[in-house]
Amino acid sequence: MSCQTSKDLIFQTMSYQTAYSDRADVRSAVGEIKTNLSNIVDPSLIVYFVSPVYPAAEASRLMAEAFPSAQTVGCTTAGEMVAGKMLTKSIVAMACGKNSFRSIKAEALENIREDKQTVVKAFKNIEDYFHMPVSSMSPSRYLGMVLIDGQSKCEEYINDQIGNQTNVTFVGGSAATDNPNGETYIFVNGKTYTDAAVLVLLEPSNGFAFLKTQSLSLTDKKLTPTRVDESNRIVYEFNNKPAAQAYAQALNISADELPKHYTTNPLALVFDSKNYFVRDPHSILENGAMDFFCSVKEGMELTVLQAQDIVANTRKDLEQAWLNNRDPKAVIEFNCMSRMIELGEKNQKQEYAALFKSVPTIAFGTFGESYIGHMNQTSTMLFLK
Amino acid sequence: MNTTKQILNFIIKEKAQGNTFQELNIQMRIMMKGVNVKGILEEKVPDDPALSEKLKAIAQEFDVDLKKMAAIN
Repeated sequence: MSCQTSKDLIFQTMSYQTAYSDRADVRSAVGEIKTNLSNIVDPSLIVYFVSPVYPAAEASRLMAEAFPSAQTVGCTTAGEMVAGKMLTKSIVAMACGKNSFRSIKAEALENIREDKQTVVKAFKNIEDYFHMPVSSMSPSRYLGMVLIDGQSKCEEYINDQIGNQTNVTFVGGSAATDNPNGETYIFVNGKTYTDAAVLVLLEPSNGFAFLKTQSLSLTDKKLTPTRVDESNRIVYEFNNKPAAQAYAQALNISADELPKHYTTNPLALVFDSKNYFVRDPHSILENGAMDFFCSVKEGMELTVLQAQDIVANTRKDLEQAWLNNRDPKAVIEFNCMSRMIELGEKNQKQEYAALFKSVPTIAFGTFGESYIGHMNQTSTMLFLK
Repeated sequence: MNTTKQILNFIIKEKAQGNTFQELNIQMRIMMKGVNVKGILEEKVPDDPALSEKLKAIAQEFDVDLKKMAAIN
């Protein structure tokens, strides 16, 4: 194992190496990444995340051309990170050695807004590749990564269908961009997709683990959605009152003040004190309705959350996770855009990035995170050993 | 044990295929589908035909055959 520092920070191990480039020209940026990943000979998988400042289709094509031995999978971002360095306007990439995985299959899902059978079709192709039903794949032997168009509002059903088909755990995030109304893109083996997702089924050679962490604590305040438009992620009423009014009452503030509390007091669907799924408000609509970055179900009680320090909480959770899963050789993080923004506002970006300094890591700012379901204001991570 | 809890327990066990850790994940997956899993398991939710139907639909989505439960019982 060796570590070298140049203009661009590079970490490398036997099996995994990360690199980034912030060169303005996409061809030059991909060239720099190729050079800086060259210690991994004939990589089997390249995972990469691309700032929306780059032409998406060209970045995807060039990355596939640069690594002909590898399956290349990625998406666009709302910010990027490599171990020790938070970035914008860059491409970050991880090369996985040819022996890192016993098998890899990446399947693009197209037309996800209309085609509700797309997950089933993708799994059929994965089954053909692995010669076994996904329903019988061992979740301790296989893992999945999922990237989904962050503008599609399809994350809930894709995660739901994944769980219907298999017990293999899929972790991932929603492709993002720097413009709330901009297109997000998914990259699979040189092709570029929108209105799409990718499932990557992996059989790692040396084990793996997951971490889901959110720097928010539960309060005793509850809100029950009593009238919703689930597919459009709109809540008309909480507790039989206009949503914004009930939400503001729960926080003991006026509805006008509510937007200032979206990230400090989001809501969660709670399973137990350790397992909850954050739902971030997006805006107040007409008649006091509210839309969210995540759908909520009518009648399912939600708990008001209170923001905690992201760096301190993530450090604690990482230390615990690394205690339980010794010596991860690489980390892929899917970190909510709103967490990235908050880190920036509190001038904690580099402190956060430093948490990952000892392990080759790539990350991107997401429009939502995937782990069992779709959620917000969370970091989901994949640890590869 | 009420009927709803029986159905839910059966779905969780069958889908988990004997993996205890998976049982927790499956409970959370079912919660994400809009079912008060904890409430049912703690018997705080009374039997309800609509809820039973919802669980039967989830069993179908998970490819769990509830006829096997009838056979066991």
